[in-house]
Amino acid sequence: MPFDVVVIGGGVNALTAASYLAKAGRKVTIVCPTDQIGGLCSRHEFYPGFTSPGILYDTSMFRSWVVDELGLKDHGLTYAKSTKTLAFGKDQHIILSEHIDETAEEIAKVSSSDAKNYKEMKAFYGKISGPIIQFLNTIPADIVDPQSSDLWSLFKRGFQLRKLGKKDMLEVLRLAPMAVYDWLDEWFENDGLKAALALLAVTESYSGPWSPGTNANLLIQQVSRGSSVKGDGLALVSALEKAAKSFGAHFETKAKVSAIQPGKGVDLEDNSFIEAKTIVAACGPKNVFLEMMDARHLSNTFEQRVTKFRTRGLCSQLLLAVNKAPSLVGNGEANRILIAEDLDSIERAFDPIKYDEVTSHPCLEIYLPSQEHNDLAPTGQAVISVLIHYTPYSLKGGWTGEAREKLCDNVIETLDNKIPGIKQSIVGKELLTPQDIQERYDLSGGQLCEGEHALDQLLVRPTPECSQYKTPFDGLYLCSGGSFPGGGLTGAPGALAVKMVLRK
Amino acid sequence: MIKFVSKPKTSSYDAVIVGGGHNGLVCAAYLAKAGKKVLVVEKRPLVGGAAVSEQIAPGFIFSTFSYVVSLFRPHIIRQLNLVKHGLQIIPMETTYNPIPGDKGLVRWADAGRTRHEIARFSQKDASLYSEFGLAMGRLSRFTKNIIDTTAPQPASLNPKELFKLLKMGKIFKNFDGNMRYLNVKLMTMSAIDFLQEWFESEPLLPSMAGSGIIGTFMGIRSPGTAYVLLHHYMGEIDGAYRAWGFSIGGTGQISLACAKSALSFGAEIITDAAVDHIDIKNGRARGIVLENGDDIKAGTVISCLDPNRTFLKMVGEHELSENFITQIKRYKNRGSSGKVNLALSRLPNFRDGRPGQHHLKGDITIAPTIDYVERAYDEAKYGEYSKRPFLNIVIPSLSDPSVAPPGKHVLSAFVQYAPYNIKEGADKWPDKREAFGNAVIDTIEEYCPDIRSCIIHKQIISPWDIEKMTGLTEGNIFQGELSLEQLAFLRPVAEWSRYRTPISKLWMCGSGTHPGGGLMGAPGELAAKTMLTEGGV
Repeated sequence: MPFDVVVIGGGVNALTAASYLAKAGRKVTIVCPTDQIGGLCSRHEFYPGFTSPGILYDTSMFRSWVVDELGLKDHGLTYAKSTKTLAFGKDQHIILSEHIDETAEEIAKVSSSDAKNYKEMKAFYGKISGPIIQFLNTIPADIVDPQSSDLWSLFKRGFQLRKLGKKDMLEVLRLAPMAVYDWLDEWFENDGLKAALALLAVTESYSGPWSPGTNANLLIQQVSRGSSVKGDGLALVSALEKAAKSFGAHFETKAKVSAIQPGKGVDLEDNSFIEAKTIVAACGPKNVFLEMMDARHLSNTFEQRVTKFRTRGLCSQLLLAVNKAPSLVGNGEANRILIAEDLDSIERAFDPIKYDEVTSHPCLEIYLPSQEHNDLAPTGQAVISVLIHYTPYSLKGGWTGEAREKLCDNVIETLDNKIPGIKQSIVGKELLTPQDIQERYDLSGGQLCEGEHALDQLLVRPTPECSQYKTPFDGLYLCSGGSFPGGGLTGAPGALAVKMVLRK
Repeated sequence: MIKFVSKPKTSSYDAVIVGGGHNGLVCAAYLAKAGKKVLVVEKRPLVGGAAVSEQIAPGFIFSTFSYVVSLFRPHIIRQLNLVKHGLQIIPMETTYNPIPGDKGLVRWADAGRTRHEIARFSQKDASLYSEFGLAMGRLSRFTKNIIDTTAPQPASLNPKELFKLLKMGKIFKNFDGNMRYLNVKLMTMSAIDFLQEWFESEPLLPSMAGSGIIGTFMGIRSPGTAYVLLHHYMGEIDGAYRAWGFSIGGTGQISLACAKSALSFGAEIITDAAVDHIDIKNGRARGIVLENGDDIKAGTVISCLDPNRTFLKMVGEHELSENFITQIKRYKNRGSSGKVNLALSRLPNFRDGRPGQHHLKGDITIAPTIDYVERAYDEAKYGEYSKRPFLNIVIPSLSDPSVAPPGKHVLSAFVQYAPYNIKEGADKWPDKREAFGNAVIDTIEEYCPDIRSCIIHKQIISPWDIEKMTGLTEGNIFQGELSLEQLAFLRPVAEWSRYRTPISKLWMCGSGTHPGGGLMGAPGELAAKTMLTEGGV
């Protein structure tokens, strides 16, 4: 029995796209390669009794208009009152949240001028956010082969930017190509604060805080952030799954696509065939074109362009099973922790991966899921997810058992310094290097954004032919983080791709 | 030779130009040509700023700082009759990358020969090399359009400005899809990422990428450096793209030609005359005051100094708004390079087994691997000079015997990275200078084991020295970094990218204005033309 659309993948973008399509009356099936729905927010048991919450957890950039249009609140989605991040600097800690005044008060403990500037910077982001959010929530203009509609769209974007006033417009144009290092230096004096603000912006691409262009990532994060979903990534996936089902989407798990036949359907590895005129791929562009398509159908230029799409993984995940929930400063309200002393220490952690080496002083991004999800660990015990910035995809000498142990030891040592006692409470662990991440989640290079977030890969993502979710093949569309506006739990590529599908 | 005096003939001029750098001289020439009474005031005994030739040891003439020419705008050469005034440029024919224990890679003017050389490292790279050159040549025509006019003003609602943007859009549109995509990438990518889309082999990759970092505080992996590569394809001498050259008699001859041209149009130039400050009353520049107390009146004052020096030293913070001062202070200068100039008793022996000297006549780039260049940058980020730096070496005496006694040679090494702000503090550079020079000579020694025995005299210039000698803030050779946020309509700061300043009758004409540094003459020319059409002088 043929479907109208088959959606490949099981992550947030796949679920978003499938929901929209089903809602629009299309007969949709999702083919998810694993037994668990959720992609980078899916569970797996990594130690007897302890379950991983996946890699991505931050839902603060999930588009509120997608929540409304899909009615996700009717399917159990609620927003968290506040999300607290405990940021450790050298000999200090700051608790950051989405409440500006509250955060400013925290910052005032380390620097009163930074507290004042923090409010000012937030106000500045607020002022300029309009046109940037518009830009991020619209099908991007094709700037390589522009049609008149693209020129019109570009003109509108330019006009919206100009409406900010001359001064702010020029400031936006100035700040986007900057290095995060220089930008934060203009605002703040406290090293720990600067590092906490920079870390998540620079780790999306092959860059450290000194790299020009990283400030665009910070800008995008700052203007897109809103409230987080209560229960983070896992809860978001569950609401999306329920919504998709309520609209009538069909699910097929443990269904790995072996070949795409554009306009016809997809072949699965178990030799079955799913017929559908339209195929929407929520997996990385390299997976789609270099693995699931017959190379003979790709033009040379196109194949080259897909190959050159940069997907270098830079981060490993260490999952820890602990027999005692860690006790944190700040009443234990925070369920995220950042460890980065200053901007230079982030840069120094980045430097070695350029030579396929790994730092002995990693910067850490930690997520404690068990507070919301008590089914992940036995009662009284906990799971800790640690993202290690940075680690290379291919380590000189290989990711041998010894190299892995050394990395784990370094990470645990760093953790134990900030959260005393954590070392003794570890009962089990699992390390996922970029290669392991690639393997487990089918992510090219183990790149968590399905393609580095660099300026050139934002304006044209992933290639000129596919920058508007269409592909050179009729009936085949892309909607992963490898498409505009990029990776992370935003739902935007999924939602925007559907607009393009429904246009036809 | 021309002799300059240090006293002006009169006490009042239409325009006084602070700083006799090449842009100041070009600006003076254009204004004088238009009939204005112009005075150029230079603090050093010779004109040229960072484009000077100096005799450092008897008989040895060095281009102390700036050492090669490519971007000098051909129409300026024509309009100012610079050839008649002694400008003579010989093209550089080779780019040589030595590798220890190997013949290295030489790229020749002859395409076939270059292909053959590259093929030793990669067949694929050899076959793509000329295609790449063609593509870059086409793209550089787009960029030429940007550097030969005043900066576009995207925030302006003036129809003239919008028309200019549209015109640029049209050039962009006339490219085919491939070229447009290339252009987008070029403007945003790192030199290495960009080149790796074409090439695969070392030393070709780091050698080519090296030209993307010269004078910047960025590494070959830093986004934004691909654009600078284009400058290498934009170099034009007599209209030939990708041509670099030496000025006969050293780079200072270019400045001298500009000076002679300015004099021939009736401009006046004084040297050994340091300006103390610009005289401002009620927000309007009235003239300058020299360090010796002399007062010179001017209808218009034009600063050829960098923005930092112009506003914080010559104007003074009290004359400017807080917002403007903030913008000037955050304008990044960050010098990143030094020079080591060596007087040699004979030509050192490159251990490469290559016969003759022909391959040494162009520039010699020490950048054997990508990691080598990137590691050099890594050290600089944390305030140390590179122990094994990226070097761009020239031996101009091989092409121009006038700069050294017979049989002897001058070798000039451009060194990167040498951060102005070393971790001990910039003023500790004098203590580190010798060690820095040794690191450079050690590096050269790996390729020429006999270099030390050839040295008669050496001159080591750190960025701190550049600042002391030329006045360039933090020793930045471009009067401010050429990073995307400091280019075009943002150079030096937003809303003041058209040579005007917040002080009435004070203008700028140095490399700190659009289109930036690199011995182009363009800022001086565009500033003069803008002033003339907008009634600035």
